[in-house]
Amino acid sequence: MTRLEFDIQALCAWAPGLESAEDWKRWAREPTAPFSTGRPAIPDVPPNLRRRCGQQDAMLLHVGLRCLKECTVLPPVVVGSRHGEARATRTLLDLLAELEPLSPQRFSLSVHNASAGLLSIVTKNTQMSRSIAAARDTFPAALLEATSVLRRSTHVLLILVDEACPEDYRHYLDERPATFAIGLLLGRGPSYQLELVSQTGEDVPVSGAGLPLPHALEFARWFFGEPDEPLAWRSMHRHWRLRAARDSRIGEFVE
Amino acid sequence: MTDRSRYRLVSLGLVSSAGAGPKESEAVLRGESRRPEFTPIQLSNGRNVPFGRVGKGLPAIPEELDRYRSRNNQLLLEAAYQVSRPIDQAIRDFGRDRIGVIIGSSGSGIEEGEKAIVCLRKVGEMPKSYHLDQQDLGSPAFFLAASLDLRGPAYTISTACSSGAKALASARGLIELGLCDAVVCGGADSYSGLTANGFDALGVMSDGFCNPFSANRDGLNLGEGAALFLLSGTEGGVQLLGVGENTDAVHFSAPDPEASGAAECMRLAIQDARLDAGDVDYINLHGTGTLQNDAMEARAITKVFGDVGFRTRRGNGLACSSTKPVTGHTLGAAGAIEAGVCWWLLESRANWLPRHYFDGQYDSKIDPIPLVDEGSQVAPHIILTNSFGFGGSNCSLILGIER
Repeated sequence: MTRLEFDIQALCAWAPGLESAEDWKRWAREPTAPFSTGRPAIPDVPPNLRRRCGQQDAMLLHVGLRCLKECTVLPPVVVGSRHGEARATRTLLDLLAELEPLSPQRFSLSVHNASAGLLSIVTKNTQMSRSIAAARDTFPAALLEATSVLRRSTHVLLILVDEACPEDYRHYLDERPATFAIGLLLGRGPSYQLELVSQTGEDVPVSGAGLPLPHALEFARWFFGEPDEPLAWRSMHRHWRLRAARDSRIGEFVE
Repeated sequence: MTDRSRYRLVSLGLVSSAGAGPKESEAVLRGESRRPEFTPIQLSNGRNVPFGRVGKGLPAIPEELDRYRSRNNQLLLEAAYQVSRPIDQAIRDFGRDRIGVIIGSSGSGIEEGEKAIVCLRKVGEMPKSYHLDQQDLGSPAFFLAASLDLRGPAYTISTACSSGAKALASARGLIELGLCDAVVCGGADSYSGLTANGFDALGVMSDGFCNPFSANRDGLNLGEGAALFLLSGTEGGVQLLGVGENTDAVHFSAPDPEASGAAECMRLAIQDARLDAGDVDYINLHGTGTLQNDAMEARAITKVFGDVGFRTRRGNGLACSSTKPVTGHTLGAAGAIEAGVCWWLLESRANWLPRHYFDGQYDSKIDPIPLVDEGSQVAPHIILTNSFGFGGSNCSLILGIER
């Protein structure tokens, strides 16, 4: 068994229709997969950059900027996104199919770490940034990555972000498509404890009706809903259990 | 502060236009055989550009893993076969669940995605052979973990041109966390129309061979390939001594001409390794051959190593070269492939350094840095390798022989 721990010093979450702590608490009672268009205003982002942002970039910037307001020293950043810039890429693939020219700006902003790069420019944050992708395991992988960064830095900004992928791809998914961003400013400390236990046997692939929510949204449901029970799930051939040592989460939501 | 722990790069699998395996790639890296022919690829606008294609036939994806079928994953399989024995030993030593997989990739199997969209537009549905997992960014790590039956954490890092180097940094992190005893780490990227046409749109690709640091340089050549290391938390052999990572935070797709980010990145790596600038014998440059990168990198290297006049503790003087003329710019794989070249120099106790292929006309408008002399006999002990990517994402690695 491996035991990891961290503090959550600030948390900001945004999804279409879900902005305040109250919105998220209400959502946690009957969680659905947030899905529509609509994006946060991001007034602190200069207009020339704001213009280039898609929905995902805007969500990441919103939660990232809110969390970083709580920092005296800018931290390294870990971003976990399953689909990344899938919408931007799909637009480019359609142009490519017609042998149409690609826009250089659109291309450079279609890389997986595009929105992380935008955040670094807006905040002038020269600390390192890592963007992770791991399909259904994206949230746990990014959490591991963030705890490893915490061994060498006192804080890390962890952002989970995804847009519901373009419709033609949803048929292949093993979870419900969803649009959301969750930013967590993590620090060293014992408030949250993560236990990983290796399990034998295969992870059962999910299919058919009743697809689960992405793990990041299960985390949000737990954070805003049932604080006394640990959050448990299976991924990477392990049982994972996240528990809160003390009950002060809601006070850390930054709007 | 850094731990006193050790991180050994136990073994390497490598495939690029320079060859399959480090031994096979040696002749062209040394300059003993001709620079590889880069096959022309045609862009959407009809322009032909050289591309560093992997010529050899690649292993087929096993049928039960068909949902991950892509050339990208075939490149990874080729590299994996080259390290299969050390991996089997690691499984015996540590157990499958203690071995992680971290892969850097910018494109994954996007070429499969391109073909799927062409089909969708023509006939109104996706091809039967298509699965989202072929192009999913997480798939390189998942595919490799499934092929090798490794059950530690598996995921992909995707930060454009610094991905492959960052994969090694992340791998070190998983061992430090106590979650893994070893990690299969590296990178892979393969040809895709999206990437080729995208770089063309940025105006950074050359029509001819790339010509790094030359007054006549006019852009990069793309290439494909894969490199995989087995990294373990053990002493001896070639060590991953230090990592520097940071972000320019200035401009999205162009490097900062002041080079402060790149210079600081190299300093961070040197500090992390508890060394001084004078300890570095050889630098494998990012050296893409674009006007902007080479000017910036020359400035950065001068800032860090120029103060000591490029002198080294061992007395031979610092020497630098880019191996991208031999492999092409392999994007998400570059940091790992180039670390692979550096690893081979150390592992084989080489008395040579990789040739810097160019037309010999160093650009007098950029800071002068010492390039590798043809035929020079230097036995490097400490090597620095640079990767500077989109989004201002920088990563420098220091490899050395355990002393």
